[in-house]
Amino acid sequence: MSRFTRRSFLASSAALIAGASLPSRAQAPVALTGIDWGGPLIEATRKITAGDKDVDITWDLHSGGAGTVLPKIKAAWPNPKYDFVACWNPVYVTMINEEWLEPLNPDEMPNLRDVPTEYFFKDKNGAIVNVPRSLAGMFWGYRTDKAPVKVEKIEQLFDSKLKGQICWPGPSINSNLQLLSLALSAGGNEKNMEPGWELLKKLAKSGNIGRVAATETDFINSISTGETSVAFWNMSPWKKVSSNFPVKVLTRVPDEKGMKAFMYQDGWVVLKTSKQKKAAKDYLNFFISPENNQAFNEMLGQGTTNRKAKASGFAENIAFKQDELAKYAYFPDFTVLAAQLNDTVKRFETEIVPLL
Amino acid sequence: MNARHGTALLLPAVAVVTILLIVPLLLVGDESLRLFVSGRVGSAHDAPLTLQNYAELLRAAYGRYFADTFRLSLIASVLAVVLAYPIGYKVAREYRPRVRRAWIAFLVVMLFLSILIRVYAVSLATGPSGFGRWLSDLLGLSLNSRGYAEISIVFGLLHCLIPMAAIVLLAPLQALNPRLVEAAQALGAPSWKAHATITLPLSARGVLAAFMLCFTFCISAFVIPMVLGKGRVLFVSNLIYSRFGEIGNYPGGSALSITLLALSLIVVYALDRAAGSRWRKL
Repeated sequence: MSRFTRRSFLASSAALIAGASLPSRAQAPVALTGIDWGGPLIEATRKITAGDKDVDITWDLHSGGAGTVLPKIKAAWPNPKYDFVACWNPVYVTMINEEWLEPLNPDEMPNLRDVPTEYFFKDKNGAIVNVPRSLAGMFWGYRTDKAPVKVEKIEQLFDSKLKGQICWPGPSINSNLQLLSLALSAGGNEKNMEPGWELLKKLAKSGNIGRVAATETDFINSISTGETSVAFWNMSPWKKVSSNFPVKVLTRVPDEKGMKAFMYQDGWVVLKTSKQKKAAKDYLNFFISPENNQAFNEMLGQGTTNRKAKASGFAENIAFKQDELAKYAYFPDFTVLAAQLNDTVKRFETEIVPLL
Repeated sequence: MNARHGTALLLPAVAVVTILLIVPLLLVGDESLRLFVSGRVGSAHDAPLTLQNYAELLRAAYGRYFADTFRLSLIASVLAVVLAYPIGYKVAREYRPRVRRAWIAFLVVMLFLSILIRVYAVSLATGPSGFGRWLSDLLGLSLNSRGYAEISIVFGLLHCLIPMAAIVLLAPLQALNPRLVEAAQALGAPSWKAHATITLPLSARGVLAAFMLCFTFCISAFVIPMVLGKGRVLFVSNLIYSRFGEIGNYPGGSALSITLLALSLIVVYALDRAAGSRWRKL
């Protein structure tokens, strides 16, 4: 018969305490803080996140464009509250310049191996710093039941029948791809936006710009209420509008240099100040697994970034075949556009707004 | 209580104001004099000093933004005081305690209403899904014109200002002795004249206080012009937000902030002097 002694009691207690203190992700979800866009994006993100029981995430929302998170991080650096941030091409560039991003390694995040290398952004040491989650596009479109003309060319935007009918994104929105669209149609490009500025002045003078939208909500409200009927915006708000109203998106317009699908990808970055880097990386790896990547993008109507996931629905608008890519898609140089942003905003304020 | 104890009691408030207002203002002032490099967030630690951020504001377009901000703020503040005055008077003279309490509760509740709810309510009401088309036809303006956007902004501002101004006017109007007006009327003065020569002059300081409060609220208004201005009419606060929040140009945003602050102080001081010197004689 075994005896219960003071020594055996201490030994078993010590073993119990040691066992209980072993890290266990399953027992205690790790608290993380992230930021994403509001509206349909955060809804989709929350649905995917519900499948990961190892993390307990507190969400913040971008107040407008993803660029609005930059001053928040800068003001709090080196103690920003975020472990990871949802952003897109031009914001990646600024964050890389500021050296805020944690290097990511496919050994730690195996699902990154299924993402085409073209989608990665790298820091000055050549390390991957982003987790691409969606392939998306920005493009022109219009409400077929409200627009007074069938828009098929950039030059039609100047038609007097479209008075007050265009919802133009503000200059800090969409990295100003809307201006690039005009520039391309007039023979310009990212490094020569002057032709675009000339056309924009003409458009402002024409009175066809009814609203300069400052946020996605502005765009959705303006198009949904019929205040305006023609706009340049990105996929998920277009999908939202198209679920209630007849919409024609102009992603396959032949023989028009300006009306392209301007391609970009959005995704996640981990801040190097995060105190839960491992948990953040595990979560983001979970987020871009083939099934989650497919489910997330199905909800938003965007393209998938994981090779093993399939795109469907609204994403068909930018699912170009190889021979279509050159004709309909445009891959902007976001580094050049990001460097111009300050001057672009000032120029819009001083040269365009007075003409509206 | 002696003077030393009185001074000691002021210290916590002075400390809070110094830490939360003066120091940040000095930092903003310093940032406004730093060179900004596009593509970065804020100025670099070792950024050289420059007046370029202020020089940019001398361009005619920026003068127009400042003029629009002050002009629309002035219009909205005057209208708010004019519209709130009868409300304040009615509540101050209400003899039934329950009705009076209900009025005051209503005005206070209006102050608690979220500004976003107000703005989007006005936006929908004055848009094509509300009575926007009828109103724009009535005014002879296009729904998407600059003029209509200005009117929408004034509506939005009034929505916030009227309850605020009515509450501010309540105290001076309550303090008036109603017998003065009654005496004037008993001596044959018509009602309007009795109010114009007695009620109004005696509540002039309250009117000025309500106006100043409304005016400062309007100058710093941000969400109202952002949503209702449709990007055609922008207040300086919208430009400041864009600099800080969207393009990371802290030096440019700081220069705009300091300039707006200086101009606002000058305008408020000038109005106070002009109105004060006139009403002191009454």
